[in-house]
Parts: sequence; structure tokens; C-alpha cells
Amino acid sequence: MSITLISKEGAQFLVSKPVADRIGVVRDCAYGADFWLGYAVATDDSMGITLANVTSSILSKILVWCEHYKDMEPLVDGDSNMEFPEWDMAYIGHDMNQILFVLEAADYLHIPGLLLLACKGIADVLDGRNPRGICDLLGIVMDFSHRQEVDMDKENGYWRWFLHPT
Amino acid sequence: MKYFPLFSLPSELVIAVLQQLDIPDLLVCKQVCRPLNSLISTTLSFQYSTALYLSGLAECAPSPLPTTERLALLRRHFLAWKHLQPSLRCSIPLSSHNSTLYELYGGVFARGTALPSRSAWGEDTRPRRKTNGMYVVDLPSEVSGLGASSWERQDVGFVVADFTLDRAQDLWVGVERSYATGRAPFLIHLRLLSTNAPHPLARSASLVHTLSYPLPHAHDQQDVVTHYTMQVCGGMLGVLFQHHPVEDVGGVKREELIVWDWKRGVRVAEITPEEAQEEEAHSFSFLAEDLLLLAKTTFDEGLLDIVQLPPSSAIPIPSPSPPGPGATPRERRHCIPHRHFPPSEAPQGMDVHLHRLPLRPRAHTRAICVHPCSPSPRLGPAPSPPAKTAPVFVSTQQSRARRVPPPARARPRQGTPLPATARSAPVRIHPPPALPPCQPGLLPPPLRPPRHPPPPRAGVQSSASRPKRPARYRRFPWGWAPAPPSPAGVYDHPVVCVGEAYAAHPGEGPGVALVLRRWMALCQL
Repeated sequence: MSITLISKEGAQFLVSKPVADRIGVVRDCAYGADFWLGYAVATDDSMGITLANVTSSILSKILVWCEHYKDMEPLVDGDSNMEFPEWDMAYIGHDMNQILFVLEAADYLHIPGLLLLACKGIADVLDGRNPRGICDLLGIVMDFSHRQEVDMDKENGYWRWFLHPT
Repeated sequence: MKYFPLFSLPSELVIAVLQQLDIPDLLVCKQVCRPLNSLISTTLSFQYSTALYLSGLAECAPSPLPTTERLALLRRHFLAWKHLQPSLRCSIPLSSHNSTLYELYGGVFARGTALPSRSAWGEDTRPRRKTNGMYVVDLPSEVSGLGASSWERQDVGFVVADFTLDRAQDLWVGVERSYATGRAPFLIHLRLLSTNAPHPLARSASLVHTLSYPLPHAHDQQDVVTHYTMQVCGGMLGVLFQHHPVEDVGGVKREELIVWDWKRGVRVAEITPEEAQEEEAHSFSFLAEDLLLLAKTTFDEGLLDIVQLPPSSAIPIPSPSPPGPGATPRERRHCIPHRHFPPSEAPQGMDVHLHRLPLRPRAHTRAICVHPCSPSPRLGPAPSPPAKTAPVFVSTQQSRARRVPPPARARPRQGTPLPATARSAPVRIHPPPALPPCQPGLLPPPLRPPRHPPPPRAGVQSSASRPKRPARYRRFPWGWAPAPPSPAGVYDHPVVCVGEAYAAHPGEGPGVALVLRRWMALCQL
């Protein structure tokens, strides 16, 4: 049993049921109805499900994750101290733009495990940078006045001392 | 290169991203731009986590309370410490025939009692200083709403030289010192705190310790007075034996630190210095079940060492052999001299010298207890109803410092600003918040130590030029603090043992108990 997914550009992806089950939207679209109606609406859907907000490149990347996790349960809850498997961290990489697209698509497609992984990936990229570095990374213009900047530096000085007591 | 606009994402997603950051990185993100700043400042979960981190606290278990209430509790806790206005204050009468032993840990205060026993002729045959009973007070708690309950056990079956307890495991550990020949000099009994029966989790009801070195005068053990420092951490029991020779006999002071896995009855580690100097004071504390913090003070330096213990499951259970004078000398596999700490010569499985933290010169160090206590039901003959509120947070910098007079030469020099490590105050691993927190509206500025040196200590000749301390500051066991606005007066009594910080329940931070001769005053902050 397989199902066809159609990306924003119109490219078609044929995926099997365990892979598609990882994608919440597809699961609800194709198989969720049998809970209410007693039969599946699209057991073997030849028309396909259109995912209008996801580009082909991102969808193919997401399907790699779904393929990897079709038999395993991904981590879906955790704080900043949680460690992800090595495969996950290699998968998500350090490309900020791509991670942000993956994050947005994972939110749209209802994939909580991938959403958390994307959050972790962004947090890893932001980790250990100073405000200027984050601005350069994200293309943000710092809009604080000089006085505000100095004040906040003073506030955060405690944490510099905390992290590097010498 | 076209950047992805991060703030075109919905704010829940940005919050989900920021929740994966550490607190210092979160504070850096506040400095990036206004939208991010306002998002972090106005999100409740970030307010709570930042405030928790700032005050050196941590949540010990997931709490069903909403974040608003937890933040309010945290703020009340902070304010109570700042103004030293406890939310609960009571005094508890103690037994009239108590001895000098006591223990205050995990919401239980236990005091040794020395009942005079009567022989057939009706006279008091047992000296009062020999502890043979226990008076246990379950301290009142503000979070659970339970009052104090106490019970007394008049005869525990042996003369207790020292004891410790762990309420979460219903365990009390008593040391028996035996002077009879043919017996091991130290027997460590593992009993249930509630019923005084042998602890069911322990493989053997008592552990045996014999001296690891020959006595200078082997014919008489009574020439050596031993002091004990004991601590239980989960399945581990650490006992520091400090042998002081009696003055007219002479000899050197010796120390032995033995760590047992008390459930399996296995000696896990043994840390024995060659010989200790008079100026040195050693103490230890468990950081975790397999991490040990050793503190030592010498004449001109203070040192903290963190030692990793070998896993106790790797050590076979010894075959039972009756202890006696003819017993074979026990194996000393895990013995390391901690005077030198050569990492290359460390026994296998024991990673010595993980960290060595040199301290300020002439600082008096003492190991502090930094592991949180786990929530536990009430014990005792009459169990109370269960606590109604779930735990919220525990202190990560709780101190269990007893007052130990440091040697006179180890005093801080005149003119140095008062450090947290002066006198008997414990060395803090987490530095106290000394600068204003990053969110001025959220928390009041924390306590700032005064710039005056500490007052002259009794028994040490002081210089007259030392400035008087201002009246609005008082010396408390945890350091300097503003004097409480109401003259409580309890601090001026002749204090037998000065206060210890303790955590009664994980939901409430440490409080202060002042144990006087006949009663104890309790302040819960």
C-alpha cells in the first residue's frame, strides 16, 4: 500500500504507509477518516495529497527522516539538556536556512519529532555566539540604542563571570 | 544570499527553538533585537527558567502546578531569604535527657538521648554521655501543612558513638565503638529509622571496620579518640574516621575515609592519607553516588578534589569471615593516598583527580552537601497523611556546614573583603548571585555582602583597629545577612549547636534550625 504526495512544484513522491504515517497531516488525510467513517477514504490513493506549502527539496529531505524513523519512535519531548542520536545531528546539519525551512515544514506537516530536532539544530547553531554573531547569522539589524546595549551588557556580565570565573 | 526571516515564523515556533537553548545563550538572544527581547521577556516559561537559574535552584521533579504559581512560589522564596522573614517559625521542645549527638537532614531532626539505666541496686550505672536512645522529630513543613511529630526510642541496643540518617530510605546508621579485645573496633549498624529493626535492603545488618594501621600503643585502643563524619547518598555510605590520640600518650592524627555500598555490604573505596597534620581539616561530601568531593585545609591552602568512585557492582561480595584478632589483614585494593594524588598511580577503576579546584589562600574549606533530598513519606510509629502538594524545586546550593573552629592561623588577613569562604562558611560551588539579575522587574536585587571584615572571633586576639560591623548586619551560619527587623532574640541564647541549613521537603527551600539545649527554633524560608 502506498500513497502519493505532491509538493509545491508538482513533483510526485510515492511513499509507503509506514513512512507516510510519520507525517501527521497525511495520516489524518488518508487514514484518519476510518476512525469516524468506519472505512478508509484513501486506502490506495491514486490522486495523491497535495502539500502546497512544502517545496520538493525540503519534502525529499523530510522523507529521508521519515524513512529512517518508520520503525523507531523519535524523541518528541525534551529540554536543552537532551542528547539526540548521532544520525539525527548529522541529518539536520548546520545550514541555518535549510533548518528553518525544515522547521516550518515540520510544523505544517505535524511531525513533532522532526520539529524538535530542527529546534535543536537551530539551538546548536546559535550556541556560544555573541549577539553580533547571531545578527550576522540571521541577517537581523540590531535595533538597540547604544545606551540600551551597554545596559544589557552589564546585566549579562554576571553570566560571563559565571561561565568564566577567572 | 537571501536569509530566511526567522520572525516570519509563528511565535510558538520561535519559542520552541529558544526553549532548546541554555539560559546564558537565552540571555545573549535577548540582546539581539527588540522583537526577540520582548518575546523572551514576556514569555512566562522563560521568566521562570531564568529566575530559577539566577537563584541557583532547579526543579527536582515535574510539577503539576502551573508556571504562574511556580513563579510566585519562587519569588516568595527569594523574598523570604532576602529579608530573612521566614514563612514558618516555631519552636519544638526536645527531650530532657539528650546527649551531644544530633543529626538534621531531610526534614528529620534526630537527637541522641542518654537514659540513665538502673541496676538491681537502683543506682545509675551508665554514664550519661553514652548515647543509647534516639529522639526523632519530624519537622513541620509549610508545603505539606503537617505539624511536627516526634517519637523517642529509649534503647537502640548499643552505645551509639555517632549516627546519621536518610529519611527517604528509612535508614539510620549508627556506629558502635567497641573496646573489647577480640572484636572489631567499629561496628556500623544499619537500622530502620521507623522501627529500629535491621534494614531489609541491607545484605548484612552491620558493617565492620578495623583500623588500617597499627596503633602506637597497640595494647590500648582507648588512647585514641575517634570523630566520625558520615553521609548517606543512595546506596553509598561514606564514613570519615578521624583518630586523635589522647594528649598524654602522643602519636599522630590519622584519618580514614571508607565508602561502602551499604546494600551489598561491599567496601567500595578507601581513602587514607599517610598521616594528617594538626592544621589540616578534611571533610567530604557526595556529589552523586559515584562522585565524591574532598575538601582539605592546610596551613596556607584550601583544596577541593573530586574523586570518581569505582562502580560497586564490579566488586565481589566478600565471603563472611568472623572478625577477630586472628583474622587475615583485609585487602586494600582501593586505597589511595590523597596527599599526593598521582593520577598515574591511581588504582584501576578509580579516577582520581578529576578536578582540582585551588581556592583562595588561607581559605577554610569544608565539603558541602549538594545533592537534593528526594521526597519521602512521613515515618514513625504514627504515620501522617500524605503531603498534599507536589514538589516544586530544590536548592542546588544547599549547605550543610557545621561550625568547625579553624586554626587561628587560617584567618583571613585584615583588610580583605569578606569572602563567602571565610571562617566556617562553606565553599560554594555555584557562586551566589552577586550582581543584579538580568530582569530588574522580576526579582529584587540579591543579597550583597557588606564590605566590612568579619567581627573578631572569641578566643582569637584581635586588633583594635578593626572597624566595627554595622548593626544592621548579622553573622549567620550561611554568611552575612541583614538583621531581621523583629528582634527575635533566639540567636543570643547560649547555642549548643549553631544552625544548619536543611531542606525539609523539596518544595521548600532550606530553612534554618537553631538547636539549643532544651528546644529548637525552626525558621523555614
